This record gives sequence, structure tokens and C-alpha cells, in this order.
Amino acid sequence: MRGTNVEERVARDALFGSLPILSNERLYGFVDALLLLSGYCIATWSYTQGAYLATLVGFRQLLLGAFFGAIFMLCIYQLPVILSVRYGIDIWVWLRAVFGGRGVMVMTVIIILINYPWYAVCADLFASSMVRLAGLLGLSLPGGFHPLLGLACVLLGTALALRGPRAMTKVTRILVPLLLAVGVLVVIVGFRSVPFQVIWDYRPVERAGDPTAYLLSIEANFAFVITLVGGMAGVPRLVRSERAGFWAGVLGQGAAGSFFVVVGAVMAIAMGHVTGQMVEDPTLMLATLAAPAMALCSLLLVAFANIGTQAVGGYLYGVMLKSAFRTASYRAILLVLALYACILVLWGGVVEYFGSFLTLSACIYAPLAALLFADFFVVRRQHLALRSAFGLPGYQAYHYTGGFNLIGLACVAAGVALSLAVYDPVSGTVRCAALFTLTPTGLSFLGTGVLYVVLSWLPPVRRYLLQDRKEVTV
Amino acid sequence: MDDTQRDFQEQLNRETETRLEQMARPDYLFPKRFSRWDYCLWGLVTVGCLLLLLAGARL
Repeated sequence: MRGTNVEERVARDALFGSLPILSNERLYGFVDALLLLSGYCIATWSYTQGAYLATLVGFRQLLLGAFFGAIFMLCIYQLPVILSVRYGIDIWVWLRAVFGGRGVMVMTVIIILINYPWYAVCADLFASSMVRLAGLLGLSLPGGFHPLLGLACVLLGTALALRGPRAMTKVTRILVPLLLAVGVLVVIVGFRSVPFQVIWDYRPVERAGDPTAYLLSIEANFAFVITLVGGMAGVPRLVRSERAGFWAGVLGQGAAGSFFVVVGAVMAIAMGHVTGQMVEDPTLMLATLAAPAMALCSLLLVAFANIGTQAVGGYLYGVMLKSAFRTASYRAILLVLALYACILVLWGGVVEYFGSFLTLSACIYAPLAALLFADFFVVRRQHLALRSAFGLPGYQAYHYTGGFNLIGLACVAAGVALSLAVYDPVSGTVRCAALFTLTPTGLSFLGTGVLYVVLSWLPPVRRYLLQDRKEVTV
Repeated sequence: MDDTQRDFQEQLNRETETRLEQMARPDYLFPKRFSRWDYCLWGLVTVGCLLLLLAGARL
């Protein structure tokens, strides 16, 4: 019956972003949220990041930058996640106050276009690992199998995401501890295969005396973690306390995720020392430096990790899009996301342009994160008109100018321009050395946040932004 | 917008309103909030990380 189908769909939609989650409906404590968010980050793209950082700085600086750069940036930009826990909403519901109802739709689509290449990187690395597995088993796969295997990764992850957060929780409870074990194993093998000092004292010869190398590595760490901003609230809105929601995100993404970045660097350095080539594939590394059986175990777990990441990423971005497009079907959204990832996999160019892609994507994430922070803590002081934010009939506080908040959107543009004015991520040219010390991501975050707050002090802008104060009820 | 979609939109709006009304009730229990100690810990961790990053430039 049509009525029953609609009711069932509405009931399910709470988990998929269209409705606020009430306190008694929360699913996760700290540990489950930590495992889920760790599973999201523990993907083979971390190894690619680690190998990239090893081309910029020595191991000790890499260690500091990977952990403390990530945790620092996460601590700052993820603090507004407490609003998601408090009200049971995704940040994209709040961001209607910053961008307007239609502005949010535009921004979510831009975020998807920029962010989904990550999943193509994931799928590409999955495909490479599966080709190596075949090699270990004596099978030589033709080149045409590589994109097909990448597509399989996307589709399997999407199939898991379609089952929703409860199914993914079951998977990550098993997967994440196993992956952590693989990571520890790789580090042990790496440090046993080459003298400890080789890794500990490692410095990239090509960057000797380069004053910008350390800053570029910090920028890479900031840019790496800030790409998580779009989906940062998908899990915390299902958590039972603000403390658990916040620290699960910071530690899951900052500590667990960064550990795998360092694992990638250790692999690349060890392989570089032994074979002359810096490779971040754990399967190849374990097969070369340890035993093929260990390589096989690692490979299988890495394969599951990539599929798990596809699944969690698909769910989080599905929730994001449903927060902006409330009546769209979650299933339809996931299939569109999968199609986009598949097109990127078939193109095959994302891995080649990894460094530029990181900073280009951070150009838009940093202003987005800054606006959320400034709006939540300073402009709106943690109070939102939820009926207008959900677009209920008769509530127009966030309609602004035809559905677009011109101030918020202008600040995003200014933040992007600020980042590009300091550093060209495509050519790698530093345009302003003095401001580059803040890193392009850091500068863009600070500059956008300050601009938005200062503008909000101007009376006409304040009246434009704060049309919701009489409607606030919680 | 077809009838099913319209039904869904209306049902969604009603359910949203019901939930927001519940949240506005004085006896609604929000999840435990970030306390003053949580903000202190947050500040310590953030500043500590920044100092370590600055120290890394000297390595």
C-alpha cells in the first residue's frame, strides 16, 4: 500500500539524513563511532599520502606532521560537530543558515565533484593489489583487468552502503582491528628489513636545503584531513554524547588515519632502501621484504579496507546529499555517486595528479569549515532555527536572496582566492612566502572565518544573516 | 511532483515537526554536552599539537 511504503520510507530516512535523530534513537557510543570513523580513514590512500610525504621531508618531521598536523587541524575544524550530536542533524542542515537552502544544494554538489576522486584513488589501489595477488598466485592478468577490478571495488562498497549504518558497524568492528594489526605488522617488517637508523634518519635527497619542504608537508597533512569535512557529522549525529562524538572523530581520523600514513612512509622508505624504488603497496612490500603468505593476508585485508571505505564514504556522502535534497531517494543518490566514481576509475588520471588534487580540493574545504566554525560559535552562538533549516512550510529565515546567502557564498569565493593567491597547487609555485608560512589551507581557514565574522558585525549584514533569532526554540 | 513524492514530502515535514516539538519540551534530554573541562582538554591538545608542529621545523 502506498501509505505504508511512504511511512516506512520516512522511518528509514531518519538514519539517512532527512530527519533530526532524537536522543533515544542514537546508535553509537565512543568505541563504535571510533571504529567506524577509523574504518573510513584506513584506506590505501593513506599509504599514497605517506609515500608522498616521504618525498618532501625526513622521517622524524613526517612523524610529527602526520600525527600532530592532523590532530591540530581536526581539533579546530571538527569542533562544530558537537552541534550534530546535540541536535541529531548533519552539518549540511546547519549550513542552510550559511549558504541558504539553494546555496546548500549547490555546495553539496561541488563537494561531491571535488571529493569523490578519493574513491577513485581507493579503487585504483584496490585494483593494483588484486593484480599483484593474481601474480603471487601465478596468474598474469591482462591490463584490461585493472579498471574492471576498480569498478568492482566501487560497486561492492556501494552494495554495502545500501544496507545502511547498522550493517557497516558490524563490518568495521571486525575489519578495523584486523587492519590495525596489518599496519603494525608492516611497520615491524619495515623496521626489521632495514637498519632502524635507515628509516629514523631518512631524509629525501632531492629536497635537501629546500626551505618550503616542511611547510609543503604540513600543508599536505592539513589538506589531507580537511577533505573529511563534508561527511564529518554523518556518524557523530548518531552518537550519545558530544564528547564521544567529537573525540571519536579526532582520534579515529587523526590518530588511526595518521598511523596508516606513517605506515605508507615506512614502506616507501624501506622499499626505496632495498630495491631503489619507493613503493607504497603493502602487498609488494611484504612479498619482497617478508614472505608471500604475509603478503596474501595483507592483501586480502587491504582489499576489504578499500571496500569498507567505499561503503562508509558512500553512506556519509549519501547522508550529506539527503540533507540538502530531502526528498531524493537514498538509493538513487548512492547509485549516482557510484556512477561518478566509476567514470573517474575508467579515466584513471587521479592518482597521477595526487598532490595537486589534495591542495585544489582543500581550497574549497577550508572556507567551508571556517564558515561553519564561525557561524556556529560566533555569529549564531550555537542556536539555529531548526524549522527554517529543515525547510518546513511557512518558515523562511534562511531564504535570503532567492535561496542563496550571498554573504556566505562570497566568503567561500574569497577563501578560495586567498589560498590560490598564496600557492599554485598545479605548478607548485609559492606566490607569497610570508603568508605561505600559515600554509594555504590554514590561511584560507583563518581568512575566511575572520572575514565572515567581521562582515557579521556590520549592521546591514547582521540583519541579513540573523533573520532567524525570533524563531529559535532550542 | 507525483502523488507518492508529495505524500512523502508532507509526511516528512510532519515527522520533522513532531521531532522538533519533542526537542523543545522542557523534559527532553539532550545528549550530554561538551563541558568546561572538555573545552580545557580541547585547548590543551590543540595548543600542544601546534607547539609540536613548530618544533618540527627545527628538526
